[in-house]
Amino acid sequence: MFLKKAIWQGLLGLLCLCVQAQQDSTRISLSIRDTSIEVLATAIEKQANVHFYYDSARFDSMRVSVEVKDVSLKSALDQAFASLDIYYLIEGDRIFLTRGRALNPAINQGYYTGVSPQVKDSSKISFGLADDETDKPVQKATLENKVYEIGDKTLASPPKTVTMAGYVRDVKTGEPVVGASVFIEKPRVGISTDQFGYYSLTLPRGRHILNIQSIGMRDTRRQIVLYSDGKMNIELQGTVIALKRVIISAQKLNNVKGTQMGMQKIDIKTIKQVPVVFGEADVLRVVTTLPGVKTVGESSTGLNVRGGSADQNLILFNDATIYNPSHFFGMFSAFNPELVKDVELYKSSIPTRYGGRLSSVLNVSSREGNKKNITGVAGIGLITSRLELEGPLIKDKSSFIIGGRTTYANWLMNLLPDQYKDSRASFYDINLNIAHEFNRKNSLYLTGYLSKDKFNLNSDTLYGYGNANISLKWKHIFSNKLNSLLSVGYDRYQYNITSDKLPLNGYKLGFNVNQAYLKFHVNHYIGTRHVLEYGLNSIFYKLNPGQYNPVGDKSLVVADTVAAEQALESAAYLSDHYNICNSLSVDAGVRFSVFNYLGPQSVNSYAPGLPKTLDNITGTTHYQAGKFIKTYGGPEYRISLRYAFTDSFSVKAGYNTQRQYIHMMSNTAAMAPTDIWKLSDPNIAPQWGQQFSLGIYKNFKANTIEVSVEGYYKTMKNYLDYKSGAVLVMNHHIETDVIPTQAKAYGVEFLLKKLTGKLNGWISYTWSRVLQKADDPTTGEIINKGMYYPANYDKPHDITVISNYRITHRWSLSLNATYSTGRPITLPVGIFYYANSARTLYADRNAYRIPDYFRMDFGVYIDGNHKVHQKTHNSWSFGVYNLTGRKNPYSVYYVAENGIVKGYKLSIFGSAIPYINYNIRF
Amino acid sequence: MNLIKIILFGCLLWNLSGCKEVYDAPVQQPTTGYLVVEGVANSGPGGTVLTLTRTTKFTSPTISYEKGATVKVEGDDNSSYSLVEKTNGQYSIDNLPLNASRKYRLHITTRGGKQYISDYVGVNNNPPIDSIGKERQGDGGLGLFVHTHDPANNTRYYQWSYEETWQIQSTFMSYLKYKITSSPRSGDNYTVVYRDSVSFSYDTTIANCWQGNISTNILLGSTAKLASDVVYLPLLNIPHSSIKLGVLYSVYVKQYSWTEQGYQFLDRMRKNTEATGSVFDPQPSQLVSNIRSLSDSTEPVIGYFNVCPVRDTRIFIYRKDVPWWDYSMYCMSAEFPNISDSIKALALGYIPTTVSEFTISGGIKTFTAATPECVDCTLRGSNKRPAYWPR
Repeated sequence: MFLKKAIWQGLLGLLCLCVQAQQDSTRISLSIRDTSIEVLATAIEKQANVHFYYDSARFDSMRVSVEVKDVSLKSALDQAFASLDIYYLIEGDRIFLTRGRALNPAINQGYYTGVSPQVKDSSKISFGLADDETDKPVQKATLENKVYEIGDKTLASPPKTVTMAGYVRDVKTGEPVVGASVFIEKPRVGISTDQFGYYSLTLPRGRHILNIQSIGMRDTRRQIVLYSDGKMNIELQGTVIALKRVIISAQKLNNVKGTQMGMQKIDIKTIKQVPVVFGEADVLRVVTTLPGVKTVGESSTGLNVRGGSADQNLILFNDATIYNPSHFFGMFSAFNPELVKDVELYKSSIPTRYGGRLSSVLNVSSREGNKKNITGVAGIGLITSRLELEGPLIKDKSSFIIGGRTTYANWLMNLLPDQYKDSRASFYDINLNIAHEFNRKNSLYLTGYLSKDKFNLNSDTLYGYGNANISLKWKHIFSNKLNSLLSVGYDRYQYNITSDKLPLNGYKLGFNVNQAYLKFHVNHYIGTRHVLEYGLNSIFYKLNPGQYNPVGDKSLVVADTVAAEQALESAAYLSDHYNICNSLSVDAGVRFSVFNYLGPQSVNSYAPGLPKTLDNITGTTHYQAGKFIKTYGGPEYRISLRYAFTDSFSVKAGYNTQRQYIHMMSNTAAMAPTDIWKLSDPNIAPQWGQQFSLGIYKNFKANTIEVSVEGYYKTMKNYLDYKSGAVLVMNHHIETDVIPTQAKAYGVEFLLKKLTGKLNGWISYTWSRVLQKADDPTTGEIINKGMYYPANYDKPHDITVISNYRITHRWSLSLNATYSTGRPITLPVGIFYYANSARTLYADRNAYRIPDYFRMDFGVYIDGNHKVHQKTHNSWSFGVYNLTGRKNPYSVYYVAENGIVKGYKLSIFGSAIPYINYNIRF
Repeated sequence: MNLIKIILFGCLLWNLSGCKEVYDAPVQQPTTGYLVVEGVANSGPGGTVLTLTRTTKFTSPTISYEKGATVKVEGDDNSSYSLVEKTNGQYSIDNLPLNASRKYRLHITTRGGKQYISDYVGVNNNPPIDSIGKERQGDGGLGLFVHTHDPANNTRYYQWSYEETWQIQSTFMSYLKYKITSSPRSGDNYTVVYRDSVSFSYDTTIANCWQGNISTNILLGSTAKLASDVVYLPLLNIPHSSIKLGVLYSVYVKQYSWTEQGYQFLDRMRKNTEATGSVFDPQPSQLVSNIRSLSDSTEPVIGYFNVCPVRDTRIFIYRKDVPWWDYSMYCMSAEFPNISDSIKALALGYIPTTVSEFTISGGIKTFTAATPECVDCTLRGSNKRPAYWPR
């Protein structure tokens, strides 16, 4: 693999850029006139790998002047402080400054061991330390000005570095704060809290200022003194009911500092600001405004990420796989906005702990319940209403959160013209999360999700589908440096179609996919520079690809069942996040996945080199239950590299490969509720994809404006397309109806984001292409003469502007605009007459495009008054979707009607659509 | 799947003016001119008609008939039957003496000498149509259903086509007509006179007419997933209070049977051309024909050669069979004096029907007249009584 070689060579090249300074040999040049100690300290820190420690209050009136060239650190300091009442002590890479009296190295030693009573005094004088505290089991740090001591100060041989760990929680609700940045500035060491709000940091012994920043929380800091390994939980103040706009400080840093590429995180407050149709805050719709994410059309919640198809996204809701993330013909996404905390989308450097899909991972996390009080939110809109309730089960130990959503669209159906009056459509979803902390080392989390959709459109055919998910997670902390997460769970997606209008043909068609999984994940912090993640995943699949049964006494339908499929997908992974130096870090990982297709099953074999058709079946083999019929597998590489030129400018590169063993079968342009899923088997090979990416990240104006440009090139193998007239439902030999295709996708994504200030929002622009090719004659069908042709979701230009303007603390306005190239379609090239009607003749697939798409939405969000101590808080949102009323075509098509061919342009929303929503919190 | 309704639902919900607009995409049209073969070789009693046409440019949709071709049905027993060219690309033969145990193929030689040949196909079973069922629908309309069964369970793939005919009657009979006399002095002079001054009868040529309609959709049905080969499927729907059942209605139904592949060919054509456009409808797909060009195997041919006995049936439905049909044509008549100036000023747009008031001498003093559509049915249909129409 020349590629890997190239990457490693590049990595080695970059290594040389790291400045590994040693202060013994460090030469210092200074030219400073009448400045503060801080300026001097910064100047020296820049040239030598040292850090200054001093009480700035005691030094703020001091002015320093010094002029030296290429001298040792010691002589530079001597000259600088020659005429001043300042003393210094060099201890390793730390320099302590005192006023009035020198620090005795022996005393200093004593300070660390804590033997001498004098020591305590001196430490107080020079560092303003707090009074001695008894070592509490886990201290809770809530104050900024207090100094917290961590570890045992009486240790005989104090360690050089210390690992501290703990949870970051919301002081008001006790909920964990996920993805908060916990870091110290000097040296720059930091980490983000995990999904349970847990962090672990390895720092030099001594005093630090710990900064904590998180979305929706006030930025804060804690003063700590580290003696030895210890725990500290941090409680954060939330911003009060959106008084402040969300400040994505964690993102500010991650964007430039993280090794992650192509990763976006949006919290629910941002999501709720974005005006959407029917006013229902919609997670997936906001995700589609991000660069590199597209949908086929307006009523489709299927995402196409960087040229991937809709089934190539792993959609996780609290670790549970959601197979169909939409409600109500795709108008709503399956996630109740009252329970969602935030959404993470990984487009290129997908962490090794995720696998099984080619294009992206969309991780939707829900909130944990309030651990202190019972609270709730109720919301009412035009079509849906929501209720959410949360509170402690055992105060400060365990909490629950339960949410439900339902629709009452039937009243709208009754307003429709007569021909639709018998139509019905409804859905509901329910979420439940329970979190319990047994002790500081063990926590248990139970999450459940259930959704159901039902509709019929003035026919006696009833459609229904639903997701059901349950998972149990146990988090165990072995030590500050090692923690683990064990999850077990069960996911199910099913649909059914029932029709009994024609008595002889009454039928019920059912499909379901079930998976049970076990995941074991370990975070391992080694030293200050390595964070290892490793673990094992295993998923057992059982699919019932089709059950077709008669309905009604008169039905002549023959019951038919497509044999159930079962398989085991397992993976072991290891990744290392390695901070080579401040400016260079690398994330390198490998995930080895194995897929076993299991019996009982009958598998057709086909003559080699010939198309897979019924005529070419050479035999059928029957396998016993549990028999390993076919095994696929291999390594998946996940590598990304970041080089930071400055604190606000970095370049990243990444390479990753993915394998996918489960495929969605759909020959419709949009994701339909009746799409089925199919496992790889001896006749259908797994999909394989690789992606190269390169990005430049720059922050401006104190990290409040982020700019990034990312480019990617991607290739995919064995992506399934369908033969003409393929039958996908109740097909006992589906391999005869599909063709493996090759695809390539490439593009450039530009993102400008400002998430603070009165005016905030983002502008994203993507130029991208995705092309498919089916040129292998042995597959039975060549599409478009074997040339590359654009995929259904190939929309080269895509620009989105999301803006929000906060007029007062209670009023804010949002305006969105989006433009994209029309999607490709197949249009007729000719006409012919058959069965007394003119009919259309089709040739090349996707050779034309529908007209371009443009839409603008406007929304207003009004909060009730902000008195903290009142029983309920309420808020209103209203707005207009598709403000300009443009009839954006969803499709252009030609249909034979009464003997002649007519062309139509179909738009899903034909006018401006107003909405209104009322929410009440209690 | 009728999921196109989903979209319409979304549209209608918010915008009753609809979001479906007539549209013509600016498409560059290549010249195609592929051969299109339609028709079934009838192995039963009755004639066989195959129609040969060519695909045309989308922008100029005129039927391009394939003239001057030689069309033969050839058996694997070396039998050969030539079809005779009629007008409009039709090639026909009265009776094809086909053997149900043999296989046949279609052999076309165009005027330009290009040869097209189909695969050999067997003769499909096709049971007679049992009956045409009538069911009143929830909206008051009348649904017609085709009922067929094959005791051998061996037909499975069906296609139907139908021709509707219905009688229409003028609301008013016209006993009178205008008589124009011209004199150089006073110009045209209008009076109303009897049409037939001997029998005083009305004009029968404009009182009864017939309208018709032929199926333009591909009507398919399959029992492949049923335990027995029994069909009861909707054929067509007559909307409530439609003129079709105003007097007497008749439908003539033809039934064809197909092989599985032939059925798929038709079903794909149906999906490509009739069931397209909604979000969830499948994308257009290629038609796989069993007819190919001998000189260029990549040249598309549209059509599928099929052999079966064609079954047919005709039913009649009288208005009295469907109570509360509520059809009526809203017609008014008005009274005019039989005076030339009045007629010229007021009545010329109407057709005189009956005498309203006589003069003392028995002449026409005033008459009634009505709009032409209410008197002359030939404005809407043909007054030629079909041969099969009951007296």
